[in-house]
Amino acid sequence: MTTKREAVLERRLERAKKEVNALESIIEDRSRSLFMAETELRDTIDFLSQVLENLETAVVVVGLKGEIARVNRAGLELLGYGAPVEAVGKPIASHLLPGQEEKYFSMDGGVGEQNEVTFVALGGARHQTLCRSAVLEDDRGVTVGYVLLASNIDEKKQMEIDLRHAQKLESVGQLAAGVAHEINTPIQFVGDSLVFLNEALEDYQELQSAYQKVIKVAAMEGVAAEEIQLIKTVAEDIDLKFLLEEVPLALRRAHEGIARVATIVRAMKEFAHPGTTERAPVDLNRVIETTLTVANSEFKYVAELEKDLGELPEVMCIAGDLNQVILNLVVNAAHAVEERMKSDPAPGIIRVATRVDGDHVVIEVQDNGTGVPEELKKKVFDPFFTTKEVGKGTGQGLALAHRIVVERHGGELRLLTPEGGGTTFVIRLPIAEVQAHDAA
Amino acid sequence: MKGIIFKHFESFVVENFGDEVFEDILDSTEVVTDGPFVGPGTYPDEDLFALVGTAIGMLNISLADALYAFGVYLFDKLAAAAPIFIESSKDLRSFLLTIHSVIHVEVRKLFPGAETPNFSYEEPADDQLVMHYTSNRKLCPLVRGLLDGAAKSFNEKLVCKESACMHEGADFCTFELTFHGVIEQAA
Ligand SMILES: Nc1ncnc2c1ncn2[C@@H]1O[C@H](COP(=O)(O)OP(=O)(O)O)[C@@H](O)[C@H]1O
Ligand SMILES: [Mg+2]
Repeated sequence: MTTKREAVLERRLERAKKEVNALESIIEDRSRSLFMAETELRDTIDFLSQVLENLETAVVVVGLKGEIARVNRAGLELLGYGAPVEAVGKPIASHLLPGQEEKYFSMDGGVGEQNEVTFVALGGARHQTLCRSAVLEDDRGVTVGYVLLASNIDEKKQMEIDLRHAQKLESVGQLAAGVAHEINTPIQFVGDSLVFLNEALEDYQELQSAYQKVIKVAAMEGVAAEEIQLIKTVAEDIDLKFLLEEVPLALRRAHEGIARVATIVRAMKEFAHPGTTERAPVDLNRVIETTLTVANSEFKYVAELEKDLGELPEVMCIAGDLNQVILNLVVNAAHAVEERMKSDPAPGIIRVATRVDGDHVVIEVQDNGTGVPEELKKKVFDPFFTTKEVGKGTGQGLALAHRIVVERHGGELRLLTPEGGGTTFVIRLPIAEVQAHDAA
Repeated sequence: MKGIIFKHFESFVVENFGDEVFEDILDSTEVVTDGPFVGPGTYPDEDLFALVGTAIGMLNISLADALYAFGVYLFDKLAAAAPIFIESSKDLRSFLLTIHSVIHVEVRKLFPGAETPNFSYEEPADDQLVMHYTSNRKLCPLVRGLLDGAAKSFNEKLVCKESACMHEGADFCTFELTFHGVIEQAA
């Protein structure tokens, strides 16, 4: 009996040992596959995070309370953060225009659709994006947040705006050219007629003095006393003396006036239709004169214009582009002066100066307006950045100017604060470009 | 079938009939598996059925009775291993409702390859529950044992009627449960 008992116990012990072995090998197996799975998982995570980081699309994960939970590199850029820790926890609503969160990202709102959404970066720069959002669920299907996928379309928008701008200029140009053509002919014959009238008047004045002599002689001889009296009466009635003095002056004024009209029409034509979109040697002083003529009404009520145009070599550039730049700077200057005059009545001055500095041509547009606060000096060149009310500012002027000067012409556009306040925009364009092109 | 069930079967036999009986059962049964059964392993269903078959022959009880008794026993063991599932349910009825969507999901996470049965529910009244059971193992007596084991754990009186059975040609076994609340303890 004892032996049977022993045998049973032995068998059980034997099996227990085997079980331990089996369990050990299971543990080994599991550890191995766990290790492999972990390695694979880490590789996958590495891969995915690299993909995520290099994605041009901003990926922003937002928690249920609307707080930023995760964000990739493009997302940091879009929202203006330096590192994820700065962004995490911030409300996404602070980067959206009012009302957009509910509209596009609420769970029962437009999730899943693609929309054009404006993001406001830390510091205020605005970015246009094409944005899609999706609900994030955990493995039980419970909503834990949502993810925003936003592609920056600033550049595309910019191109659209540029194109629209160019089209507008083009049609304004055509219109101006047409109007100029239509006006030119009447201006010419008004001008010719004025010249003719002036000459005729001189002739008539000669005749008139001859008549005067006859009247004098006749009066002395006592001839035709009645007729002479009549002439005197009429002459007094029409104030002949005044007429003879004033009519030539009136004619001269009319002549000057019509000459001004002719200049403006010509400037209009040149401004709107600068001839070419290719680079060509351009007389920048002439470009400036043209622009100032056209923009005259933009500033003449708020500021005195000072011109100090030095002698310049021709510079290879696109005249129409430079027209735009000068116009934007001058209009900005006028706005700044106007704004400043609301609190300080000192007279406004806009000074436009050109000079040569080494191998550069320098154009300065200076005003004694509000000035630009230090912290905004970089931002003013951002597209869509404006401090002006809707309708007055589009935030496009300086961005366009910057692109034209720096990108298209290899120059510099800088903002300085002159002593005594106000703002100076300095454009530097390389002259070397001319020689290079001339040589070519 | 998970090894853990084999192990619980072993201890069920050992506790109720002694280890010698279990060794006899092992000796007289042809199993496919070469080597011991261990908890995390997965073994052919036939092995368990063969062992159970030998056991009922030797002990002279019916298969249904054996499965039922094992079910009651098994529930206790499983509950002891994962008390959280019981503790987090306020009563038997709500516990039973979590079996399919929570417990079996966790089981599959823990034991990849575990083939859990299918349960669907009807809730005709607050004190009633209809459970439909499908599994190609067709272990409805085991389910009944488990249900009674669960009722015992919750100290509730449960009336269970199997109104349809796969063994009688139904597509699934239907258990009509009525809950009669906590059993008053005689002080
Ligand atoms: N001469 C200036 N003096 C003061 N602020 C200026 C001047 N020029 C530009 N700014 C500032 O820069 C912003 C951007 O200018 P701009 O790009 O031309 O857009 P907009 O004129 O439509 O606002 C202006 O809103 C203004 O705040
Ligand atoms: Mg502007």
